[in-house]
Amino acid sequence: MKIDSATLNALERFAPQLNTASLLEKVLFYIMMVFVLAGFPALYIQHFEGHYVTGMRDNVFWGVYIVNFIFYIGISYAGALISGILYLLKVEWRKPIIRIAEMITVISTILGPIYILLCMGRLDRLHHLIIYGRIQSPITWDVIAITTYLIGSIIFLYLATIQDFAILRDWKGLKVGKWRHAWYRFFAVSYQDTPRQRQLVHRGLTIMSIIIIPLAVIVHSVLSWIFGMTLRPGWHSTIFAPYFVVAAVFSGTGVLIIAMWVYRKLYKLEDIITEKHFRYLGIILLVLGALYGYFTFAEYLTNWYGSEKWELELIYKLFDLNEFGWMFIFAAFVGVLLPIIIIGVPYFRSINSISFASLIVVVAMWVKRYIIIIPTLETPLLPMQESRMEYVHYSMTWIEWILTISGLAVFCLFFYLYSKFVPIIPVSESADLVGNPNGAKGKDGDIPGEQNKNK
Amino acid sequence: MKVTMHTYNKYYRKASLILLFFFILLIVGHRSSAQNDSPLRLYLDIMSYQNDSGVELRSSVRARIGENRKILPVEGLSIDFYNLTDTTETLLGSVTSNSEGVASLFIEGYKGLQWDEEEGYLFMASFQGSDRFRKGSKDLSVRQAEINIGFEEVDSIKMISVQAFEINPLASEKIPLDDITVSFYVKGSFSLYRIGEEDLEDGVCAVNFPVSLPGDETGNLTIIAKVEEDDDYGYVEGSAIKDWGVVKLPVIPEERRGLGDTDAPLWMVYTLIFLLSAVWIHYIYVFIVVYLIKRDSRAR
Repeated sequence: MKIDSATLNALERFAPQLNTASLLEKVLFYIMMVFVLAGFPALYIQHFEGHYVTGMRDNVFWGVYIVNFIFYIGISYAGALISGILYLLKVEWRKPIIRIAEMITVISTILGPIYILLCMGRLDRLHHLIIYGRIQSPITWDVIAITTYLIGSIIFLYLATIQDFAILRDWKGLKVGKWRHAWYRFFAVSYQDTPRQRQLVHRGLTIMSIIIIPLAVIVHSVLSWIFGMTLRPGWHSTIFAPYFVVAAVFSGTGVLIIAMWVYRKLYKLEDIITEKHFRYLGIILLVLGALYGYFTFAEYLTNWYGSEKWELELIYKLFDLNEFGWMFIFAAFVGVLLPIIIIGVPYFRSINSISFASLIVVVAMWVKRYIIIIPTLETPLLPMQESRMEYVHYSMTWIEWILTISGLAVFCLFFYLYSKFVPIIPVSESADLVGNPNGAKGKDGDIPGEQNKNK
Repeated sequence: MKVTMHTYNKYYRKASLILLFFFILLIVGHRSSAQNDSPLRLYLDIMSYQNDSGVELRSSVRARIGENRKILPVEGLSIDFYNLTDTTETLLGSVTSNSEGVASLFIEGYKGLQWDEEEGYLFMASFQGSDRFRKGSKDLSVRQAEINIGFEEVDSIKMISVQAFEINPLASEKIPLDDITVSFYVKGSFSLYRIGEEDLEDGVCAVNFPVSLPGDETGNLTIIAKVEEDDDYGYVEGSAIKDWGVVKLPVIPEERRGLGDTDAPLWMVYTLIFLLSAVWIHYIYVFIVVYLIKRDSRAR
């Protein structure tokens, strides 16, 4: 396969990312490894001691593991939606960020279900989900939906990377090991960039872009129905599916912005991932924040106005500063209003402030998942027979803390390792972004690709 | 202020009186609490239930307990049942009272019971006493009786007849019962359905049978005749099965498909198949695309 000069320029630019690591990268890598390894003793203790070492008990039978599961599946949604929609609309500025979005989708969809395994008391009965699974059960829907979604996300990421694999396979200047070349050869499936092959890849990507959007909506709706189909205060709500979908895109967009900020700094991509990308995604975040705030208000107002006994008890727990009040304030007010103000007011709007707002959104959305699950489980419809505090109130144990942090480290590590395998900016699509010196030194806020196109 | 000896003595007397008052209160309080700790009186009762296969002795145990001193059933007390004669007391068995305060003992075929010519069978339920409850006992004399049920149909009129006797186990003779009310029932799914009552005359009585009662698949009904709360015989019951009921054909439950059933609702199955097919057809198409890419290179 012939590699044109623009692509060669891009390859020269991204080669260091693939075969060398800066001191900062090494430090970050080892820090992540420490957190990942710290998870193993915790996992060992939980496996051999049982779930008694967690905060989960008879009444609060779901804890932070389910919170993490929903959180990761939620952020996966943004990748699918943003990359799918932007690809279909042929938005030019998507090119530098699309692979980051797709990676978020795949990695978080792999990581999320691991937390379900951590939550299960009898892992040896995991296969019962397949053998005895009932189609009527939302749990079964979830297993089917997430598996299908994961496969779809991997196919989408792979199709979008196939041209880069071929370029990396054929580029003689890449100084990496033989095994890595072998992998590039394998994944490139003899792609030669002929017009017919380009057409086939484009067709595959278009189909996957179309299919991944409704699939992501269904997956997150199904996830919400695990709760929505249950007759428990705070869960049994008709708007739970769209509420979950909006919250998922909201948090996922936040993670995408944070990842962009990190890679921009780490691989010095300031000329490729520009302020405009942050601004555009920031505006998406703002709109989603407003939508999410609207759903939150509608949900709690309806429940509060209805004054149903158990719903009220739950709402008072959420409003009580001695119980979940601070979490509720953070998730429902700080996590929505502060990002809207930061992004909405031009004076505050900058790359760093938008990234900071995204960080607030992501943390708030994690807290939101926590206050969806735990307070409801602490409010059973039948009075609790148990009076021991650890049975009545859930609190995370150090095992759960470590496994949560460890999971976050795994997420970052996978992200980093994948960026060492394939350029974080799609070379085949973004060659013109790098090759143009005007693009590289263009005015802050311009999309280099757009400049090239205009010329 | 100057405190004189007189004032001092006055305060001293007052203090002594107050102390004495509290001391008396203490003693009274202690005595009343000690009274609360004394064993409670037990209300014991005993009844007999005779049927074709033997006699059941049923003792109910109650006491004034709780803050309101209500008479409530007492659970967990061991009740001893005795068969008495003028000279002997034979222990038949010990049974613990249930949550309704009832302890019951069934003696099959009146085996091992001593008969008294004048009193019939003499029984006693007894509680030996405990820290919480005082001991107590109750006697009961019962004469052995038997009810036999017969069925007649004359000119489409169905009748249930009963023969009731007193049985003297020593003489093996049956004495017809007289002037005792017999109640007739049909056994339902959850309770007994009363169909009539009649007084015995020379050991015999009869009632009409209602024709519209539903039976089982073969029309069988369980008919029960009872003498209830009689001074001499207690409760006596006889039963028989007769196919006089309206035949109730077994309802074969329709195979359902719903959320609570083994099989999912069909719309759900079709939706799942449709959605999964729609997605997987596209996946398969993409796999074909990848294959075509590979084939295109090979062709070149």
